[in-house]
Amino acid sequence: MLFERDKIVRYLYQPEILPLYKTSGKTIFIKDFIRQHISCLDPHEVSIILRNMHLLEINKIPNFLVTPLTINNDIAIGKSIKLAKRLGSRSAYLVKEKIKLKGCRPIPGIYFPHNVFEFGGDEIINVKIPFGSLSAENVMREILAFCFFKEHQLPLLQIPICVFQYDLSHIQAYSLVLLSPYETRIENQENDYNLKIRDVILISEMEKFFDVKVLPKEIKFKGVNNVSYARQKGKLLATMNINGGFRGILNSNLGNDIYYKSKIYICDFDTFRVINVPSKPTSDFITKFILWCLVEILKTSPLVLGYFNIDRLSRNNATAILWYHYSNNSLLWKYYWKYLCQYAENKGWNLKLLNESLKICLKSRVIYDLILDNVLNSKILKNTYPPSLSLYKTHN
Amino acid sequence: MKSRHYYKKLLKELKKKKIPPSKIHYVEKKIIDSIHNLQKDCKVDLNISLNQFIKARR
Repeated sequence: MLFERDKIVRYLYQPEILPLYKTSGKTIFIKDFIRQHISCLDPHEVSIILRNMHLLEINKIPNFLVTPLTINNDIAIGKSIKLAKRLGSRSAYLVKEKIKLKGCRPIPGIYFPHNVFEFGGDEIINVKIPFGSLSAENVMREILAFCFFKEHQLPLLQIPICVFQYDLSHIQAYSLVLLSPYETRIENQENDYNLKIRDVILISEMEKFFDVKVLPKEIKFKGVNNVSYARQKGKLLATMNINGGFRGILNSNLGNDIYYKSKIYICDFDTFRVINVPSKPTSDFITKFILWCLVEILKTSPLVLGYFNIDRLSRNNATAILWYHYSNNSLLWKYYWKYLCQYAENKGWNLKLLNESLKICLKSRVIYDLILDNVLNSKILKNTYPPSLSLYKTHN
Repeated sequence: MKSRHYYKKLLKELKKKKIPPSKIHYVEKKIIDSIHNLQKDCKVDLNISLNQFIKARR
């Protein structure tokens, strides 16, 4: 899919403090939204929400939310009513009220690239999604994640309270409003040890030549107990996955990690899916399952330090080298795999099958495409745009 | 410069292994030449920080 990167990138940059305006449309309570749009989800996903409707009994909302709000002044009615903090490129956060408005910047006619990888698929598909707002399905999946996390007693930081439906001629555009005590992402604390890419290449190549080791194993976070981070996150993701919950590739990125009062939380579930995990899975199911697990854990892992020239290597050989380096140095991977195997064994799964599936998955094209981002290498450096043309905007 | 910290650590390790400075210099020069060639094929400046690169890829 071709798209004009320059055209999209200019929409990503916004001031840190944004005015919020009223706009036309309506505010919908969560329970009413569910009734209108529940058919977006698969039947077993529907049953998760229906079992947990009592958690979504919000019948009263602050007065200022009674009319939909937006940070897009092109669709504003009247003057700004409040100031909010920018979150990413399409959301806003009211610090005093601790309210997040997700997708409150609908801009008709502008689309954003999106990666999709279906369960059982063998390639990542590029699609486009409307920029700046959520679809009805996105909102339902956020609600699904809330219910799923509650059912499995997973750490949860945000509570959905209502939905804005924007009145935009023939476009369905929504914003989800959530109660959120804290929105600062851990990516703000990433410690790159003051290294430049060229430093990593030079030192890594010299390490290999002379058989010494000086570089840290992976990117860590300042002010965070990194072992605790890896252990908590590994456990959280393993619990989520073994019960059928998956975030989708793009939402698995590390930018959705929040470290709050020494606990790790993940957020942004607009592409959250729950698959039906059979009690006695076949080897085919386990292979597809492990592939999805691998995709998401690779996407969410901190960068492992090192450099490899893979220009002359076959895809399988390149994957093998990068995987060896990643799996031996990533603390998150070690904890995640340990917990996933433990939970699989508790469910009576064959651990030998799990490990064989892992070997099969490591030969897939999808894993090759993803692992290029886990350890610096010649291919990824040649395929990276300068930061000014990046499609990613940190949340704050 | 702070980014020299790991480079100095590397030199210290190589000294412990009694690698002759001339050999270190020779290998380093070869690697720097290859980085220079790599840069010609890259859209991204290899002088950017790891943090900038990570965010650009996220």
